[in-house]
Amino acid sequence: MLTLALVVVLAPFGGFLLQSAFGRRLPRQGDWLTIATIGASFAASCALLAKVLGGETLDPAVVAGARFDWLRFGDVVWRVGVKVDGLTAVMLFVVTLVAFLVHVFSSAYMKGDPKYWKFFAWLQMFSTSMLVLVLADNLLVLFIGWELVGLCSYKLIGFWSEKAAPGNAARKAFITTRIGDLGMVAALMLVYAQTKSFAFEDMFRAATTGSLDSQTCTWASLGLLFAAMGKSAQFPLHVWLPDAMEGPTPVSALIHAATMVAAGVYLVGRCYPLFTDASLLVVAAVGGVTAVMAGLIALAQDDIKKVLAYSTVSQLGFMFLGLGCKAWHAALFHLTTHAFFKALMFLGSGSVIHACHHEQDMRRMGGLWRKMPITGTTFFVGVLAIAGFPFVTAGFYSKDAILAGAWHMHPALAWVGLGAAVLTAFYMFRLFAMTFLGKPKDEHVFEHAHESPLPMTLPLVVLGVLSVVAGWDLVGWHTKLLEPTAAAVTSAGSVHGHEHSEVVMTLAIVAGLFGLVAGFVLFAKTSPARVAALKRPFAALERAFARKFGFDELYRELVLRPAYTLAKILSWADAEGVDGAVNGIGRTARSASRGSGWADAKVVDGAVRGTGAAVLAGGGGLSRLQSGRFRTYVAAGVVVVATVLVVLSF
Amino acid sequence: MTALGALLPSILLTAGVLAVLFADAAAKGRRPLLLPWISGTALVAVAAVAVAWLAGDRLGDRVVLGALRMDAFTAVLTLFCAVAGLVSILATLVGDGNSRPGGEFHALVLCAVVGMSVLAAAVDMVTLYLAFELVSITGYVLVGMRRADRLANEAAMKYVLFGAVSSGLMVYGLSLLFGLAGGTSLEALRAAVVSGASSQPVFVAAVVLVFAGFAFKVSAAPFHFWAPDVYQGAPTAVAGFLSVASKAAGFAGLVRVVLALGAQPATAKEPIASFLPWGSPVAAVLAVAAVLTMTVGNLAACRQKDLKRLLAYSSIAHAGYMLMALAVWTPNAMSALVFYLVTYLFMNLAAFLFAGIVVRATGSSSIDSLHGLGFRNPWLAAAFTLVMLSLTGIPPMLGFLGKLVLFESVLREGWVWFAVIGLLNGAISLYYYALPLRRMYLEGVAEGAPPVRLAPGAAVLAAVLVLPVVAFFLWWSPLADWARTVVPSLRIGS
Amino acid sequence: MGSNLLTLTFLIPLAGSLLVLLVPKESAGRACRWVNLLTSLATFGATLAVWSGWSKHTGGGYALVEDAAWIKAFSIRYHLGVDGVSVALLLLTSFVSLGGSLASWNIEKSPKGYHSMFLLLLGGMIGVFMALDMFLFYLFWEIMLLPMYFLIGIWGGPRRQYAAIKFFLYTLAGSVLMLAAIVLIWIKHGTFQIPEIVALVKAHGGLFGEGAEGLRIACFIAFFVAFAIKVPSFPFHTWLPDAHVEAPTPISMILAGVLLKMGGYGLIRMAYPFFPTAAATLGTTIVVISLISIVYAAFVAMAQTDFKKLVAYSSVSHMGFVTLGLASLTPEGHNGAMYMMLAHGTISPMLFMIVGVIYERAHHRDLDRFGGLAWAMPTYGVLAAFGIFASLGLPALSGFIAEITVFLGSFQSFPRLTLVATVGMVVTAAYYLITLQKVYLGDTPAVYRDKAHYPDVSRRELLVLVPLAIVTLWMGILPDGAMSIYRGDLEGILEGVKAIAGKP
Repeated sequence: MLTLALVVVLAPFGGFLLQSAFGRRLPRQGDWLTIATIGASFAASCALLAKVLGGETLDPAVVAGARFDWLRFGDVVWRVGVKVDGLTAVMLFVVTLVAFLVHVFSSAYMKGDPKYWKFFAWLQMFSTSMLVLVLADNLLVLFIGWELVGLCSYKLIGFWSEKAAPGNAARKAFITTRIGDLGMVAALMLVYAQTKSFAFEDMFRAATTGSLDSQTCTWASLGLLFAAMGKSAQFPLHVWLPDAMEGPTPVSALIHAATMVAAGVYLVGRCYPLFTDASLLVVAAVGGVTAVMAGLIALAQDDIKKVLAYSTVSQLGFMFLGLGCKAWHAALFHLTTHAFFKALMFLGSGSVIHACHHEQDMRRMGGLWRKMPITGTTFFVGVLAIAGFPFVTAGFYSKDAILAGAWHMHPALAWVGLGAAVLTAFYMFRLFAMTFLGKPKDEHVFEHAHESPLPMTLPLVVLGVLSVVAGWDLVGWHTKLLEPTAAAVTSAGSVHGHEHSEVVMTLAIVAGLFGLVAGFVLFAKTSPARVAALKRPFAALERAFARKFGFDELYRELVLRPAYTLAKILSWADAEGVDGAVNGIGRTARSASRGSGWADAKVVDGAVRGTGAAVLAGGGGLSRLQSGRFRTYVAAGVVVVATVLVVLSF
Repeated sequence: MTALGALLPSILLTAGVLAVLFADAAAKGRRPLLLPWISGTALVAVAAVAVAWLAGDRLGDRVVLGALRMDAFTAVLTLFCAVAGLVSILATLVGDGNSRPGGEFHALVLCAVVGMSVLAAAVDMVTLYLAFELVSITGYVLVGMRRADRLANEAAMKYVLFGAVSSGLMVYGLSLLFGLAGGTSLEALRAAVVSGASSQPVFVAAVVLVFAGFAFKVSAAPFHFWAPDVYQGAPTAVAGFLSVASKAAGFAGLVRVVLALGAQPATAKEPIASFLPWGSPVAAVLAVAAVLTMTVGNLAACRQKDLKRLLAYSSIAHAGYMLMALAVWTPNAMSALVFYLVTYLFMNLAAFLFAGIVVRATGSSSIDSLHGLGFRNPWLAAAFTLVMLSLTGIPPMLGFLGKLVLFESVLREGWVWFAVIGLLNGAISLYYYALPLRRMYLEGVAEGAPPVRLAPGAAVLAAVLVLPVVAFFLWWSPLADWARTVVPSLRIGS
Repeated sequence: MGSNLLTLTFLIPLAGSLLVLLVPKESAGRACRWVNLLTSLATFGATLAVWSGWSKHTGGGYALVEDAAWIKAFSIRYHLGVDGVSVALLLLTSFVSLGGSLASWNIEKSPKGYHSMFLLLLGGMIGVFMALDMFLFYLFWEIMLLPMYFLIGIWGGPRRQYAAIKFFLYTLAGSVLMLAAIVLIWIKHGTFQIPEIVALVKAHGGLFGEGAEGLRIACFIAFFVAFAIKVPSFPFHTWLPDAHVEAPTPISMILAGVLLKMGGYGLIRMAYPFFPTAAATLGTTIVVISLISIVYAAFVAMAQTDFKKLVAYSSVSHMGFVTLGLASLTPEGHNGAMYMMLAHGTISPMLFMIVGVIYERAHHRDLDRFGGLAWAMPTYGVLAAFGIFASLGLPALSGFIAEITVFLGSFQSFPRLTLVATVGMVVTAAYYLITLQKVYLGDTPAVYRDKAHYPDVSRRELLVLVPLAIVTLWMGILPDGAMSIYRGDLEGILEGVKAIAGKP
């Protein structure tokens, strides 16, 4: 198993190295090479999955060679290794599969880009980093992978940073997630200070045996949550993800929908034993607020990718809600299904954008289903899945499980979730309708639209199938993979992911269908003029949604501008104050020298000047000594002696 | 040792003086090349005698003729002044022929060294005063020797007048001491002080008056005013000679007097807390003079635009450092003083040598005349740089060692603040010692400036002076030990 | 060789320095740089030999010791020796200087003087890291001062005079304090030998005897300020931006790469082991100073428009980790501090070289006038991004290991203050990414598209940058390699400090 795990992570890393070194000179700029390496990684992941299904796990505490000494301080050894359990296996499968499909998709989508080879290199590096994150058996290495995916995200969002917008978006993403990372560092420090270890098993043992007191656990888990909020774009650190859509669409599908942004959920899920009831409540609150807020914003977006981005934020909020409600299994389950259908829709949108010559505004699309049957159909599957179309789609099962968990925790939480579910179904159908249904709004765009080539449609089909079947417990991947892990990471009695409640299920079905039908009625069956009229009373609200509740402006005024101002002030203070103080000492010394130089300037120099003047005036001889100055300085000596004498004799 | 033996240096030098005068007269106005050979031989002979005294340990520490104490201290100072005289004579030779001085120069230098060697040995007040005056008067003439130079004449006249006032004060103070001691011998004075004469008010007055005279000689504040004018006006070689030999002789005399005045080593009880040992008026006067002198010298030096005036103020500041050792008055401090004098001999003579070379080549003693010297004559500039750094006290230069030893002796007695003032002064001095460096290196190459050449003779002399400045840190154990051999002869604390 | 290896190691550059002076004037430029390069190579080789010699040494303490009487009157000894800490820094010194030597290739002005000073500086730096006699240490410490003064003052930028004087005065002020403390120790205990003094501390629980805590604190402060000026810590840092901005590229590399490390080395070798109790008493103060250095300097860096000044302030910020880690008195903190010295010692020269590369072509460093260089000079862009990410603490590169270990160590002693320090991570990321974007990304102005004036990095420049990058990467992935050199000895020092300071 260890070998397989190493193949999973090292294959794309090798791909990255080869691709960055030789990619440009290879035939087809090396895309086949990277597809092969990520394919190998996928194959290895499948093999691992099979092994885990067969009941095997890779526990570094047991398996020799799965862990090695990385660093040591005093008596403490930092050991790092590879851990494979049910959760890992599922994550590996999802990550490598989506990554593989995105590679294939990109080989068509990115064709002709001057930095084609580089794109694949960074995709490989991203896959490597993400796999490091997933395979880590300790928090520190997880953090390393965590930061590296951040780097790759930066590089890939800013892939077209010749233009200003992608550069800004990339920077915003990196810095915002870095703010979240402070939480991770704080958690690392808190846990390490007490346990002297980062290994998950040591941390969890300390947490369960109580050697890590519950207050520390709460703070540490809140730190982890904060990090997860940054990476998974949860309120209030969600602002970077919509901007990140400046990156190439395959990147959005891979990183900003299916894998990296889900890492926050994975982190919370992985470190679940550290979370106390108090911190779980915060998790649930963050998730609930995010799910609804992002859903509302998504209602008013016209850029196809922006809608998907906010939908991602909302769905991630959903997962956090589930985690907070102790529906661990449901949240991770939703992570998986979401990865499939959101990747599907992003790639679908990529296909659309590709077809429409990089047009992303939905207001200029419409009626594309006829032109792009495969894209349209698979996209529709995706919409149904995310809306939770009952009994068929994967989304239904995972969402239902989360709502059930929330209901069990507190019905209010479930109502929040239901509200978000309605919104989701509604805006997703709005998106679908605006893009694929109705009449073309821009004939020019419509004229040129065409179905995408096979490398692009094939991934769509695969993901479409998965968006449906992932909900069914086909190979027993619920019962054999997630549930045992869930039992392991959550304390007994708190797992209630599959306590299906009839009420909740009914409500969920109603919510999803209501949203879909409402969307259908409003956007497919009603004339635009009528829609506009209907919307008029809600204009203020819509404006607020469209402006994303003003978070960007808020941050600009409350964080960025003060930070810059502070920097300017401190820089000024450094030059004038701190340095000034030093220069001031110099100045004082100089003026002291001026003061003491009085004798020099007035008495001695004066004497010299005076005598010089006298020489010029009266000619040679002793006349110069009558200048008067000379007497001053002889007198100075005598006066001093006299003074000292007087002082001393008393 | 016989009286003749004790007077051997004086006899040799006087013979040298006569020989020089005869040779000069015989040459009838032409400048015979013989003169430097004669004076040089005399000085070398004196140095050899001093070395023999030291090496053979044949001094026996005794007083001859009731006036001269022949001890290691005398020998060391005699050697010191002879070397300084020799270097000054050589310094006048290495320039171009036109500026070579006449016979009177050589005669005067020899006379001055006679005075200095006697001053270092004098244990009788009259002898002391006579030697003091001999050194002073030869100094006045040396400064004004260039009769055609107005600046030199002016400087000489100032020197004379200032010297006259100081020696007037001093002789008055000595006469008061004579009254207290009932004799002219310093031994008698010491006995009187020990038996309680120091409690009389007139004693303090006498001390202050005598110190005024010495303050003039070593250019300590507030009797330092003459130094900048005189060093600026005098020929550079003479300025160097005065700043080194005359100052050292002054310190020697001061040491004899302080010893007689019954100074006790000042050891602070509480480290850090104590600033000055107010217990002894002698130490108090010396300490105040030290602080005043180094501070005034360093601060005023910062404002100089003339290289020779800068060096003058620098030498005032160095007098201040040396006075610290006298104020502390422990065996360690005394050996530090001797050590410091030796370091000062090399670096100050070298500094004046280089100043002279630059002045001669550019015709100006302004610091600006150094502009771009680092590129015009890299070797000269480099050597000058090293000497300046040594004067600042930057390791590994010799000047650093001098300061290290000196401050160590101060710190050892717990006078932390005294040492801190000294260290602060050292930091200030960096500012003005760096000025020439900036001119030489940092301000680029001066276009059209006259070339500054280093004659072979000058190069050799420079090397002889600069090499110890640079290389001494490698092995200064012998010097440190040697400086200690002087200490027992001073019988401190006995 | 054996016993004289250390002497040889510092004599090689000194000999090279003299050799440069003997080069005839006509061929000065070419010959001098070759002498410099070969001497630097030889020195690097010698430090490698020291490394291997040290690693064969068993039984703790110092290896390759050379101890001879020198100035008997003051019991000063010619005492050299190395432990792991010294070896690590020696390797860094000669490695960075090798890069600096290559970067000095096109010095046109007075090449003889330049290369001679360069090698003299190298000799001084090497000496500092092997001296076990405080007098000798001080001597080497000051020997570096002069070449640096001239290297900045003669070969520097427009305000070089001001910068050189400032550098000189600052460092001299610091070293005067250090000297006072050294002399006080000598007066009291009659020895300049570092191992002897450490043994005294161990035996008597502190220097100066019972009840002299005030004096111990005063001496510790004197040492600390002397070294904090070199590190440099707030508020003694203001010489650094000026010195860096004016210094020529290779000198900036050495200044940042090696000279700043002397401060940390002094703290490790002398200040902490000599005065453990004072160090513990002043722990919080030192942490606050470090914290200000980290956060404050990061903010100040953000406001800079001069690329080099920005990197200079980032040095102040990063070196704050060194004092932070040391103050924690934990194994993680100390090892991390030392690791930061090595990491910063390779990353910051790289960044200064990166600035130098573009300065040489554009003759300005104004961040607002650059743009899109990553497209105009692709290889250069990649290396610059590498350097920038290394400096902002990206995992898998050495800076990350240093930062995280320091944080983990200092959190154990000063949890709240350490949390404040983590803010520096974000600010650092912000200003570096802004810089990256301003200079390397975005649209390329037409000026920089001119291939003739803006060629991509040359082979020589690659030869400087790539080895530094490789070391950074290696130290980031397998940190134990570098850390194991010094860990044992450093933790030994820490044990000694803790045993007296009484801190858990």
